[in-house]
Parts: sequence; structure tokens; C-alpha cells
Amino acid sequence: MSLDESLQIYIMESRDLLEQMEEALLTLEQNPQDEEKINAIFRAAHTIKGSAGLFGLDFIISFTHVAESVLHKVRNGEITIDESLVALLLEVGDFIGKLIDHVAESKTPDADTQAVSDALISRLNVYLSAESDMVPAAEHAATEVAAMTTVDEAESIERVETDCWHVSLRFGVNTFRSGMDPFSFIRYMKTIGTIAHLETMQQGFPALEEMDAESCYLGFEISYQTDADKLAIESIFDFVRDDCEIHILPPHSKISHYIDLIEKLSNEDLKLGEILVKCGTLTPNELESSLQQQATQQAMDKEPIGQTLVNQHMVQPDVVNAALEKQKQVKETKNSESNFIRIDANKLDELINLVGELIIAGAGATLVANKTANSEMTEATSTISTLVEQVRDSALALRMVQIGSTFSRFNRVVRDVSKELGKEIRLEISGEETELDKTVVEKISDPLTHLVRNSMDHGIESAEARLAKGKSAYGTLKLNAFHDSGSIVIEVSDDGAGLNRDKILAKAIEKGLVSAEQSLSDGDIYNLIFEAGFSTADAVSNLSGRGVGMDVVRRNIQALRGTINIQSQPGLGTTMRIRLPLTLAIIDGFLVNVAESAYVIPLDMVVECIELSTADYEASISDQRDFINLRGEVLPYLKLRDEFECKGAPPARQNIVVLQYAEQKIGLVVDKLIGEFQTVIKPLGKMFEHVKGIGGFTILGSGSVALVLDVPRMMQLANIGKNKEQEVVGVN
Amino acid sequence: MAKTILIVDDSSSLRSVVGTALKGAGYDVIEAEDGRDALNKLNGQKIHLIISDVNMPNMNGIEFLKASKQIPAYKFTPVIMLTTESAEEKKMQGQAGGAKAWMVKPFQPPQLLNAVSKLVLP
Amino acid sequence: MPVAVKSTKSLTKLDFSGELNIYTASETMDVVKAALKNALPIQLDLSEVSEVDAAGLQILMTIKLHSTLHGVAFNLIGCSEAVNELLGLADLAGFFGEPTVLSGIAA
Repeated sequence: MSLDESLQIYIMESRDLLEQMEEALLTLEQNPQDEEKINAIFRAAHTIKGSAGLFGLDFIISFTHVAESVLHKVRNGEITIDESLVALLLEVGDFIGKLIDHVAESKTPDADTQAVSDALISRLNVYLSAESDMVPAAEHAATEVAAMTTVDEAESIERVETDCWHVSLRFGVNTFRSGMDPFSFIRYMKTIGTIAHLETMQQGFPALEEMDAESCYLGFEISYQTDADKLAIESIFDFVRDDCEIHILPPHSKISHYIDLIEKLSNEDLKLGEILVKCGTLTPNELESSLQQQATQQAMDKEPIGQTLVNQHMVQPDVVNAALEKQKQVKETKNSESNFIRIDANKLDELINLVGELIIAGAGATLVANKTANSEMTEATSTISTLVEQVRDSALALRMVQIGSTFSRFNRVVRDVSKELGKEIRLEISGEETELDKTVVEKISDPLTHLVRNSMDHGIESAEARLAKGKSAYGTLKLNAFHDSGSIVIEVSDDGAGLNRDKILAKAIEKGLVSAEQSLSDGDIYNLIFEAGFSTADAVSNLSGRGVGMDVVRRNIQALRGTINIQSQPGLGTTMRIRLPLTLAIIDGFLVNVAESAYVIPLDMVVECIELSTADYEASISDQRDFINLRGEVLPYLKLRDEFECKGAPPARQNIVVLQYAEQKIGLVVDKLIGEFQTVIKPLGKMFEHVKGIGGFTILGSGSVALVLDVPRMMQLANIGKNKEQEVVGVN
Repeated sequence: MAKTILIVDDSSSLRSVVGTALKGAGYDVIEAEDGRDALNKLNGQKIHLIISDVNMPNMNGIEFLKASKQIPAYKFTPVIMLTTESAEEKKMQGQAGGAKAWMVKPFQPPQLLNAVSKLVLP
Repeated sequence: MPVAVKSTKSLTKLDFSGELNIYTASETMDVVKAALKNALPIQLDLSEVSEVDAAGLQILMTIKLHSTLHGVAFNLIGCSEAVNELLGLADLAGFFGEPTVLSGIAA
């Protein structure tokens, strides 16, 4: 996996975390004591910062660090969460999101970003100013003897001849139990320098009988040649520094430093001096003079020699265990987000594409099998098609995602917009486990946002107006989703004033969208708000004035082969209902023939098939009547032969396929019914994009092409026909 | 024979970068996304080093460390704990669980490789 | 078993094999302690040791120090590559008196 791919994962991961962080913050606003949420927020910041280092994203690290420090205090209970802190942290989250966007676009932050960053940091710092107890990342305890080589330069006592470092190591008794092998450090030393001489200490070994094989008794005196500096050599032993005795003397150290060393380790016995000679660290002469100096010094002060050792063997207090227990309890509860694999969406698309091809090939095989009339062959192909169907379903299910995450994003939208509008609005979410195709989810987010904003802006009244009407002061916005006959229905409802039928109509007439004489149902009038260039708000507020009109919303939904309609009750509220196909790729189709051409109708919408009686057909010719009486109900129909301008005479017997979509029924007159057919929908080329009533095409097993009918669009065509008719009546 | 390192971290990007770096340096790598996952993946095979995050869902690094020390095959396996918190309390908790080696996030792959090679050369 | 005791009346022979490391150290040490109670000359065969670490080396050092302390003969008759490598690193070849290793480490 390349670094770039990892970076993509990081970007996705960070966005997920920011979403979780936002959700947690919104929960905290209601319930500031929720420790789990505080932890979730902390972990989000922590992970984003932690992984940023891997990619050298310093600007993310430095910014997130400050936020993390504040969160750290929140978690420790030093700062209490209040509304203003939540608001600040939401901004912080947004800003980190922006930084992540920069990463995604491989941009570095510009001056504006920097300014925002500085502003946020200074606001965060207010919370930190109390006292800065954030310990710097790595604290370096310089315990080594020869830390101050420059102090008494003037003394110019003899310096030792060797140009090697001297490293003296005594490993702690628990070294093995901590999982460390002393030799791993020595091997590492060899990677950044040369070991001129190494002496394994035999002192300190217990008698055989007392030997505990899991305790470490090892010590080394090492003469070491390296270009590395003292800090680098020290850092070799970072992991064992806590309970090992480590002394590092630079080349040409003063003899007095060796005396210190010998002194410190002299509980072993004076053999150490000999070992230093052996290592080549000291010459015999140097040893002798150092021993003399040691004697004088000891006479002068009687400070216990082992002092430093004691200091270095820090004992862990019992407090540690108590703290650990507490921490454990806090962490016990955690959401189970495991058992998921991230897959590149393109790979899924590829799989679904292949399944599509498989279905087509399978259909071809079935066709051939039927022709050969070999029953075994037919049986085999039918087994295969059953399996292929299952594969298709599971492949499609892979792309299904719950709408919940899309919905929960609106918590933030509703919060922000209601503050902006000065209205108190609560969001209620239901049906969040309803699944739909990922591509649909991605595309529905924008239209949904617009509908939500629109409801909050125009639908829900101000608190005073609500109280005056005897409603609760706060408005309620509901988001709901459910499955309904092969579609997913998403509802945005409010308990606001409802749409003003007369105002809409007046406006529509003024704009020339309809004529005053047209008789329109309430539903028809409400739907007018989706016409281009329609806006009911007297003054365009900054919310709905953002360029996207309701017509764009409808266009987006139609592009997904979906529909939108409105139900509204004056004074009680409005519900906007979006109906979308579950998936865009493969459907169960119903195959029909019209004049040599094959057409596919989504099977979910087919209610029944009936024969078009000769009498009805003749009436349609003579009176241009395009409806029949279906068991006492008026069923308008479209003749596909006419719609697609087919040549030739219709066959003696024609059929009507009765379709239902969004509480509306129409019939389609076709020549021949063929039957169910698994349809892989392929998009039409650009040239045919604007052909009305066709949503795509598919390839039949025989290799020929069938067009997929766009039923919602067909229904509109039928309705337009109806309106025209009414118009004609009105004029007369 | 290549040395095997187990990486436990809930950040898949971190696992992927660290894993790539370690593989590049000649180690074999096993990944786990939290303590529980890691315990499931420890089945007696030889692990030369464990690199574990502290703050993870399901089972945090400290709990995992304690649990792994109960398994004879991993009783003496060196562990590098990853943390972004330098707070002393965290560190001590880890020590109580037997962790000596700490790395503070954020770090760059070379820093980690350097730390790893102090404990296990490839 | 990391160590096999093959003693005669005049010699305690310890044949180490496989992994001589921290994981086997405790078990190995128990066997060694029991085997060395008799104060006979000690002979070590390390030619079958596939892996040795600091904990393993400590055991070997303890045995050698024990022989010195009690004045019994100590003889190393074979070293695997893994053992040689570690003895070289620790510069203990001389300490154990293994001739082939002695010549091997000039530094």
C-alpha cells in the first residue's frame, strides 16, 4: 500500500471521526455529563493528531494539539462543558475538517486559514490559561554524570586519551519481565557506531542456587566509537532508562568524571577500574591517578555513594493501581464499531458491473437452453439464474448504507439554522436504519438540506406566532425514512403554518406558470413551488436565497429517478415526501413489446395487466379518449405506440399494463406482454439524455437492446395530457 | 526468518502507514484494530514485538497489555505503547501493566522504525 | 525440553537444544540446578541451540561461575551459530573457553 493510499484512508477516517465528534458534541450540549461522549470527542482529536504525524501534516498536529489539550482538561473535569465551549468545539471540528479538505486537495493552508487557526487557538487558550500542566511530549531527564563538560574548563585536569565514548550499563532486575533483551540495545548500538570493546560484567551474579532465571543480572562496560551525539546515545536506552543505571561519558572526558563513575558503581567492588582499563577507556596511569583522587575526595565528604542509585530506582506508589482501576471503569463501555472493512467504492461498482454482465450472459444461456429444449440444460441454467439472482442481491446489498448518518448530520444543520433564525426548533429522526444505495445517499444530501432549511425558514413560525396559535413555542422538524414497494421514501415534515394555497396560486399566475382559469387540485398547486423561478417568501432570506431553488431540488431528485410531492394542512404543517428507487443499477423488470421493440418497466410498479378491449380502443381513436373504466375507477393510459411514434398497425389484441407509483395509477398500452426480466440498467448516452420517458437501456439475453421506461416521467407526460385537456375544456 | 510485529491501533491509516514502513524494513506485520481483535489474533505464533495504541475502543491498550502478559507465549514480548498523552498518569498505568517503551504520537515512520530497531532488528 | 541431562559417574553433561531464551529460562534453570548438585565436572553441548538471548546467556554464565566457585572442571564442547554470535557480541568466548570462538573475535 502506498503512502498516498494510506493518506486517502486517513482523510476518510478523519472525516468519520469528525462526524462522530460533532454528534458527540451535540449530545453533550443536552447532557454535559456524558463521559462516554467526552471520551469519544477526545479520542477523535487524539487519533486525528496521532496519525497526522505519519504524513508530516504539521499544521494539523499543531492545531489539533491545542484542542486536545482543552479536551484533556474537560475529561479530567478541570473544565466543565457549557454551551459556549460546545459552540467553540464545533467550530474547531469544522476547522479541522477544513484542514483535512486541504490535505485532500493537497493544498497547504493559506493566510486566511492561518488567521482562522490563530483566532481559534487564542479562544482555546482562554481555557488553558489557568495553569499549563500539559507536559511536553518527551521529557528528557539528564541523569548522566558528565552533563557539564564546560563548567570547569579552567581547571584543565588531565583528560583521558581515548577518543571513544564510554557507556556503562547495569540493567534492572525486571528487564526481562518488561520484555526487553539487553542485547537488542547492544545490537542497535552497532547500527549507529562501532563497539571498540565490550565487557560483560560477571559481578552481581548470584550463586547458582539463588539464581532466578527471569531476573536480569547483566551489566556491560562498553567502549564505543560513534559520530552520534550524547543525546542520540542516551536515547538508545530510552526504553530502559527508568530502572537501569546508565552512564555515558564522552570521549576525552575528564578523569574526575571517571572517578564519579567508579564511585557510583563501586558497590560492585573496585574491579570496575580494571575493567575500564581493559575496555581501553582508561590507561593504567589514568586509573591510578583517578583512584588517588577518589581517596582524597572520599576523605573530604562522606556522602553515601549509593545515593544516586536510590534516586534512580523510583518505586511506583500504590496510587498507580487505584488510578488504573478508575480508568478501566471509564473505558469499559464502548461502541462496537469493529467488523467492518473499508472498500474502495469503485471496486464495488466494478463488482456490480460484472454481476450485471453475468445476468445478461445468464439470460443468453437460458435462451439458448430453451431453444435446444434439453431439459437437463434448462434445469442447469435455471439453477444458475437463481444463484446469479442471489449474487446480484448480495452485491447490491454491499452498496446499501443506512440513511442514519445522513440524517444525523442534520442535527447540526438544525441547530445552526435555528440559532440563525432565532427560532427554537427540535429535530426528530426516525427510520434511520432504512437502507439505500450509497450513490443515492450521496446525491440526496443536498436536496434534503435544502428542504430542511426551507421548512425551518418558511414552514415553522416564530415562537410568538406559534404561541398565538396555541402551539408549543418550539417547532418540530421530523425526518423519516421507510421502504415502500421497491422505493425508499424520505419525509421532511414540520409542524409549521402549512403552505398557503392561495398565495402560491396567485404567485404562479403572476409569474405566468399557470393560467387563472385552470382548475387545479391542492396537490397540483403545492407542486408549483417546484417550478423554476418560483419563490413564495416575500423577502428572500439569506437562507433560501442561496442560489438553489426548489426547482433544483426537484431536478436533482428526478435525476435519481425519484419524485417529490407535498402534503400540507393549513396551520398544522407540511410534509414533503421524496420517493427514490432503492438502487440505480439493477432492477427486476417487466418486459413488453411494442412494434418489434422491447421495453422494460420496473416490476415493482406493475400492478396488473389487462386486455385493452376493442371497444375502448375504438373509443380512443374516435373520441381521443385516453382512459378506461377499471372496475369503476378512471384509469388514464398512454399508448406507447403513439408516445414512441411507432409505425404500422397495432396488433388485434393489445394489453394495458397497470402501473402504480406514488399513489397514482396509469396504464400503458403495449402490444405484447413478455414477462419478468432481470434488468441491468445502463445509462443512455449523452445524446439521448433528454429523451422523455426513457431512463436507460439494457441488453437482452439475445443481444438486442431494450429501453427502460422512466415511469415517474411517463406519469408526468400523462398528467400534462390531462391538464391540456382541462385547459381546452376551460377555454370552451 | 523475518521478525513478526503486531500492530494494534484503531486508526486504520496509522496501521497502514506503520505496517508499510515495517514491512519495508523487513519485518512481518500482523494488524489488529483494538485490544480484543489483537487477543483474537494471538494464537501462539511467535511475536517479536507488539506496538499498541493506548486509547482504543472495546479493549484499550493497557487492558490488552495485561491480558497478553497472561499468555505464556507473550509474557516476555516487548511492547511499545503509542500515546498522544504525555500525562504522567497514563504512563504509570502502562508501567503497572508492564510497558516500558513509549512513543508519543504524532511521530513519523522513521522515528518508529528507529524505536523498533532498538528492541528488535529485522 | 531445552536441556537434557546426560550424566555419567564422573561427569555432568548438559545438552542444550532449541530455544534457550527467556521463555524457557525458568524451566531450564530448574533442571540445571538439580543436575549440578553433585559437584562433578561439567560439560556443556550448545551445538543444538537454535536461539539464545540474554536470559539464556545468563544461565550459561551462572553455570560457568558455579564451576569456578566450586573448583570443578568446565568444558564447552560445541556451539551453534546462534551461541557463537551471542558469545562474540558479549565478548565471553574467552570466559567460556571455547577455542573456535576465541580465534573468531579479534576485536
